[in-house]
Amino acid sequence: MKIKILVFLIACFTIFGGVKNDVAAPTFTLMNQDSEIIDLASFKGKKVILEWTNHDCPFVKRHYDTDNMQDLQKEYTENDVIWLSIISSAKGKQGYVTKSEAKELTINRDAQPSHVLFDSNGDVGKLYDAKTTPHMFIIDEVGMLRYQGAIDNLGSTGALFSTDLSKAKNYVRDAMKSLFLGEDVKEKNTRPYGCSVKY
Amino acid sequence: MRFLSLFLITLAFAVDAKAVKTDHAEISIIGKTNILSESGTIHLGYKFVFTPGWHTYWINPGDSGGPPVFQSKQVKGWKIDQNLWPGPQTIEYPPLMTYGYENEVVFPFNLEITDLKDNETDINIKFLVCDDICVPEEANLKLILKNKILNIEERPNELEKWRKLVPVRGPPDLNASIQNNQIKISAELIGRNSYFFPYDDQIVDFSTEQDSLDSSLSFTALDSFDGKVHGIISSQSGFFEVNEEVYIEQPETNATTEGSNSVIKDVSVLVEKQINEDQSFQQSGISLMTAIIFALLGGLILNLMPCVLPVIALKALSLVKNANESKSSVTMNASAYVFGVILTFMIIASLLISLKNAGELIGWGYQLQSPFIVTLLCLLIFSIGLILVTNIDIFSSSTKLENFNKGSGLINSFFTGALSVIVASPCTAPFMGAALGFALIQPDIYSYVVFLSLAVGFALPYFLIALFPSLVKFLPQPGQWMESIKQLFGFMMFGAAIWLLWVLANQVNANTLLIVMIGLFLISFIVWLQKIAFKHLIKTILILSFIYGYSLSNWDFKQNVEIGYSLTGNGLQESVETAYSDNDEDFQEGKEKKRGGSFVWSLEKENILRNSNRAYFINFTAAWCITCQVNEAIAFTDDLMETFVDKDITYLKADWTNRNPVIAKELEKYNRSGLPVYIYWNKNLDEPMVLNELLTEGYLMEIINEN
Repeated sequence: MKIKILVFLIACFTIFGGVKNDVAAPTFTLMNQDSEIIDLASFKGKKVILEWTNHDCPFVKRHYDTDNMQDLQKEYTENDVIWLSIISSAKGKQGYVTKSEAKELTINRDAQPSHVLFDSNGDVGKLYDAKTTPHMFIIDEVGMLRYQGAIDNLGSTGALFSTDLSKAKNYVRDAMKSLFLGEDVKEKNTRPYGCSVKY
Repeated sequence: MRFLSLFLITLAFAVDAKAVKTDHAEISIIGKTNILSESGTIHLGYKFVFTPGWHTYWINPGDSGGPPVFQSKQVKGWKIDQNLWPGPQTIEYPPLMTYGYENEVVFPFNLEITDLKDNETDINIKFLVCDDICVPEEANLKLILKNKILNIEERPNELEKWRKLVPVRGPPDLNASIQNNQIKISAELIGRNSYFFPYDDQIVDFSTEQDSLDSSLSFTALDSFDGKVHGIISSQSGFFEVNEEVYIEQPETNATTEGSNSVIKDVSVLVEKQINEDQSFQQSGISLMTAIIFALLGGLILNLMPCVLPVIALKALSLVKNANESKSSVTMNASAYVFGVILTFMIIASLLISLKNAGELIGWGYQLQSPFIVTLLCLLIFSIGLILVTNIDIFSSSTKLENFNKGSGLINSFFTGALSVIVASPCTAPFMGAALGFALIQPDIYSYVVFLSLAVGFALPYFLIALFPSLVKFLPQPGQWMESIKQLFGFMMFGAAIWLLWVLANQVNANTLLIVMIGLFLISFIVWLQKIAFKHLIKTILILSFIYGYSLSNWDFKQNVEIGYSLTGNGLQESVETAYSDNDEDFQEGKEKKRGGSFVWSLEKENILRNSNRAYFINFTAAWCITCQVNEAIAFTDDLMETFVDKDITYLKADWTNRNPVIAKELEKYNRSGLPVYIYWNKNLDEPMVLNELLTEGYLMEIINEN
């Protein structure tokens, strides 16, 4: 029992350590919807946005049903930014999809991610300490983590389901604006909100 | 006519006040009373009842989720205050941690009205209801005041209960400090089950283990911690607020440790820590040292238990008789006795431990769940009784109890020791329960240590005599009184045999009971026979015991299916159902059974009571647990039963006479493996309270009235 607890604690500190802002973001490789191996390191020179997602989560749904997420995706992928939608739902849990289901979702929702990545064993999610869906991370051209947290400020007020999302303070958009201007991101660490990631 | 219209209006309101049902919840507004007599502040509450197992969130939901949002339409003359947040529970989704309310919650709020004119307002509630997945739901309620009647449900007790869970101001001795990234909050009120619920995510990672001790709580701070601890802490008496700037504590110097003592301390601290980590119920968590002391005391007291006293007393009598013998002989005899006790205890310990390691759920008294062992004990004790009363000797002159020549005397002493342990097995002396409970959840080596302490405690009086044989002189002078006392003890043994028969009657059917009684008959027959035909006795005994042994071995010792819990899944289900059917309906309806009545315990019932904040008392008992029977006779008086009813304390009884893995598991939760165990819980207690093993009415009344 004692050993179990110890192992658990060590596991917590090592695997579930999370990531720090303004240091190099940990790299990873995951398979995308077309069974291609996608390596984060290969996007050096481009900004990368990570979006943890689960299409059945009501918070995620709200962002897609209002086209809020798609608009963001479109806005940045058109500007040479890589958008990675990562699914860490374990097999059998809510949000788990096969590659063809993922493609279907992208088409049906008119989503514009550069890649949909599958992390069903949760390694990358735990590496980044992704807690909720959505949970957003922004990595700059040199691979530094510049932002992590919520997509906007509607989480703490619980107003997500009744507010016009375009009127919210969108942390991702603010951070990207600063990055494009070559400035420091002002709010680089916010509290993510949403459904728990279904590890 | 007027009466009728009033009735119709009330009826219409009843419809309005009906709870709003969403997919996973039922929401209503509750209050003290729906008839308003004056304006002012009225205490109300939003009540949520979720699909079982589903939950919603606290104001800080933890790693995911979100709190409910209440919005009401502003109307003239009414002011609806912001709702209050009762203290939540932890809801874990490893590696994530969330804070919320499972199954049911009431968010209290105040309505301030300036006059009693008819008025109404709309209330909109948006909330998340989750189990593994989350669903956002919405409810629209209408609060209406008409003819001074408010359309709410009258649930004063429920509202009061949840109002009591709203955090109060922290106690004056509340203190927060930080040392090497470790935040430590201390206050007298903090207990081993306390938990710190932070208001925001800057203080502590929600899934961090929190180390709660008596009067302090510590955990690792996040890098983002800005020096202010802001949140609430759960305690035995509800929740209290923490809003403290931490002071930075200098690292301690370790110069003042107390030499060898510290080693023992460290070991017991380590063991204690392990118990705390292993067990969710921590009140009964004791250290190894405490367990050893308890075992010693328990063993000593075991000597006075009704099932042991006669055997022990005999030993004492023989010591008295031989007080004049040489000191060395006394020492030898006492040592042989002590040796017999310790060896038997160790054999029992090995058996229990190997059974435990084989995955059995065991406990002290466990052996008495086997009707076969009860039968053997019954026959044995009856035989001892007969021997005492008739003062005869059956097997050989060497067992003649007053015969104390050296060689055979030693064997005799040894077996008396063994015998006393065997007949002691149905008894749990005070202190023993805690010690044995500890022993059986520990690594094997600790178990042996505790059992050894128990044996030493049990044999302590003779141990002392062995060491200081001259002590015998202080015992009363031998004489005719010894004969009378011995015969009296014989009748005590008959009493014990009757009790064992009753235990057996609870376990087996009448036919099996019959064959045991035939056994008793045969034994008494043999005793009579030896008076008239001593020479053929051995032969007769052999023949009779052969016949009897044969029939015993062929007899079906299966337990009664109706009461017994068979180990197969199916059987368990069935018997649980049977146990339910007798009073489950009453229970569901929250009916009070007639005074003195109890409900059959089940985990579900306990949970229902707890979730609805109704106090309960659980009596873990068994027919073979003599301490339980004594307690029931002494402490569970009519007055007490009436107090139970008056205070709405549900009396649950868990009967462990027959094997029942569910009950064994439950006992393990309280760090216990033997009976009796008494549990009391009410809404003011964080965790159920484990009561003393020896009960009195006064003690129980005190517990009930003080908590």
